[in-house]
Amino acid sequence: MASQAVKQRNTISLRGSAQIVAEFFNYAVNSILYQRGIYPQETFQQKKNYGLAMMVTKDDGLLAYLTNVTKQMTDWLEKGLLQRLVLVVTSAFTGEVLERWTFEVQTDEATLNGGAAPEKPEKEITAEIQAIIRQITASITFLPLLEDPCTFDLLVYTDTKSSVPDEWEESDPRYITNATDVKLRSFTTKVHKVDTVVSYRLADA
Amino acid sequence: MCLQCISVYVQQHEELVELLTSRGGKIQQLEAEVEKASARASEAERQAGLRDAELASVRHEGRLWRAVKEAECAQLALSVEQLGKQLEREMARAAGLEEQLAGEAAAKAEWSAKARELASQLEGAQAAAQREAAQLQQRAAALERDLEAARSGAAAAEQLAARALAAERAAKDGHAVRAQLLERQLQEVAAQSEELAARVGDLEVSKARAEGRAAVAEAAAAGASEGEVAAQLSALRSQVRQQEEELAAAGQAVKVAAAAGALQRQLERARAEAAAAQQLAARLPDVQAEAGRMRAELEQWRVLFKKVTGQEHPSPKAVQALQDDALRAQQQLSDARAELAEARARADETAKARAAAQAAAARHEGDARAAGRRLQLAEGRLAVVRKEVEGLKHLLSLLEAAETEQGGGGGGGGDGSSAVAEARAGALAGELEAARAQLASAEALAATAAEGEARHKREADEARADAQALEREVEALGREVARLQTCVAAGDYNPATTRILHMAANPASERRRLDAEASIARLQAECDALRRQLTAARGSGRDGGGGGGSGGGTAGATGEEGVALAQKEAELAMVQRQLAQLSKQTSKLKELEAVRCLFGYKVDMQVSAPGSLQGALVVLRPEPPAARAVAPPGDRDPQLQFRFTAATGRLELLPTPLGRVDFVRRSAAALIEGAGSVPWFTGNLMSDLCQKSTAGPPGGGGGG
Repeated sequence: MASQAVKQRNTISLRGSAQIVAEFFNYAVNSILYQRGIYPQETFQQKKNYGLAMMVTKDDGLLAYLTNVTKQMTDWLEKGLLQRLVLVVTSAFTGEVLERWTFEVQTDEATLNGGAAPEKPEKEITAEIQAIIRQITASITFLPLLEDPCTFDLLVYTDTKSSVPDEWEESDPRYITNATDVKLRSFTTKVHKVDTVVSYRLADA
Repeated sequence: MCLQCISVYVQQHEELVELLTSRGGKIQQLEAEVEKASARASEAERQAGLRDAELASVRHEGRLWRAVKEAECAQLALSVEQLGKQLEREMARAAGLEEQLAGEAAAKAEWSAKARELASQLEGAQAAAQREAAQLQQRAAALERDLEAARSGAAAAEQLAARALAAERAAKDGHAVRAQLLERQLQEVAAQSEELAARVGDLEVSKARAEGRAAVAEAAAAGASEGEVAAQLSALRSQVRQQEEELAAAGQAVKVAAAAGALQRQLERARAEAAAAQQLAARLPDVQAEAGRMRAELEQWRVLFKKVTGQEHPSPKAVQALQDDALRAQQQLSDARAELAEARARADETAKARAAAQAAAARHEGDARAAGRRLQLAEGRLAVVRKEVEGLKHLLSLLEAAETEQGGGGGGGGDGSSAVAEARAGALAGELEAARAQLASAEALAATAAEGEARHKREADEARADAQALEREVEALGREVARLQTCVAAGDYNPATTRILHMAANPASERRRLDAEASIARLQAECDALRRQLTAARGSGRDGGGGGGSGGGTAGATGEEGVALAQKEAELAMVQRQLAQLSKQTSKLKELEAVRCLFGYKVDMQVSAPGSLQGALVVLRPEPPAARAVAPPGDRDPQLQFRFTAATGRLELLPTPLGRVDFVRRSAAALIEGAGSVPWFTGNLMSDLCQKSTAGPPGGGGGG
């Protein structure tokens, strides 16, 4: 009985995995916005998740925007159409791209086609996500200081089979010139695997 | 006689005795010799027996040896047979490897040809890129000229603004000084007016008194003498003249006081202007800081643009050209990625073939080593067999030597055993010959196996060399892959399978919108403030002109103010013209963008003679990804051109590379010439282009 309950808790369905990944994206974006100072610290509030004190925004406009994006990403994740999420940080004065936080998603084809749901303990997934959030917090030690006021945008790489929702439009990749890449940790739910990379512009000599 | 006989008999007896003695000695000798001979015979018998035993043991050993050798020969034959079969298998495998290597060499040659073809295509693309770069440089030169003109205009505007600012400051200072002067004058005039008012009162009183005295004088004159009357009259006249002069002076003073009212109004207007100028001066640092910040932003943007593209960005046309270039670069990048994927697939196949070749070479080497070991074993056995044969030969020679020794004194028994030994020796010789023949055949097989092994080693070395060459190629491909990955590290994707989306209402666009609205509001406020100042200055100018005729001291100030006002009006007119021009450009761009978003075409219209209404050339440029999907290779600016003739009111499709594409030409023939409808043709064409672009590029490579 207990083992069956443990087994049920360890089984990850496609929908459950999509929700876990979308929730991670939401918290990761909030962490990056807070740590990089893109929004003032007083616009954030503390919230407990993944065993950590996470900073999430309390700005209504930003909250609504992130909620809409997360909801659409959950839909795409369930259909296996989401390939990548990119958070692009740009200078408010020049519009130049200063940083790109890339979250690459790989979906298990067997589960997508209706195969048996894999098993992975929830604690393991939480520990892996915790490690990534800690790395995001530690990244401020090597990332260059953002001196100018900055803004951000979220780009979603999807399959061409997916339809474009009404509130969405196509965008260009927003490349960085003279970029340096740093690969962070990854986590997997056995249904979705997420790799994290941060690209930042090297300061002019 | 008897004595003689006896003496003869004795003599004979003595001789006989001597003879017998000698004979006895001889007999003894003979007996000794017989004993010796018998001893020798027994010894010989014993030795013969030993030799028989030895022969038996040798025969037994020979039988054993023969059995062993037969077994070994059988084993050798079996191993030779196995070696022969293995050799056949190895030869077949070597033949297969040769075929494989030949196939790989062919594939390598094909790949090299493809690589050369790709290199030539890349060279062609580079040449095309260089030509495009030359064209872009020409365009950049034209844009630089535009930029210089814009910079000179901006510099002139700055100079005008600086002069206006200096003039305004001077005007403000002048206003302040004039205000102070006017205030002092007003105070003096007020004091004078008070004095004059008092004097007027006194004069009126004195006039009344004078009139009274005149009446009294007239009354007195009636009873006075003429002289006294004349004196009094002259005194009165002088008093009256004096009073008239004082009245005139009082009237002047009243006029001055009236002018002082105008001066006061001027002073108030000047104070208001000074306050406005002070407000402007207070805002001046902010405006200058804003202008400096915008200049710095513009310069940063220009530097960045120039760093990325190598050209300045003075106008929307350059942005459009850059966007087109970026889209072309993206297309080339997607083509390069496709080629990279193919190269990776080929590299993977090559790596697999190399691994298979290495495995085959390793197996081959293992087989060759095993064959070598077996060969060494066979050679060792052969050496042992040779040594045994030599040992047997030596034994046979010893036996033969012993038999020859026994042949003289051995007697009949020795003859029988020697015949047997000879027969055995003959049999052994026969076996030895057979063993030699087997040895020769085994040596021949070993030589053949050695040759096969040498050939296999050579083949294995060649396969190893090919594998190393393939490894080097794979490493080079890997380095190329890493280089391309580095080049496209930030944002690489395959446009055929991936689409990048974002929300239209995102924080970056919201920030841009708010910044634009704030700058527009700020500019509007400045414009309104300038308009108010201009209106106020015009009003003060008109009032100053009406009251200035009475005071010569204010004429100069009015003239300076008029010059400053004229300057301000001219600057305002210029700024308004620039604003109108920019608004027109912005609205035109918005209209063009709206047309492009609605219909998928970017429209350029060139009128043949402005103002003549004779005709126009209309250029339609379809959405770049859609047009590039069907445009002929080499057509970098796919477009349709229509000539509009005012006289007939018709549009005629002119020949262009895009217009000559088969399905476009057919659609034009059916819908323009047949149905006479250009909108039908353009709509149908856009639908076809969208279908073709979403279905992917047509087959035949190159993305086009």
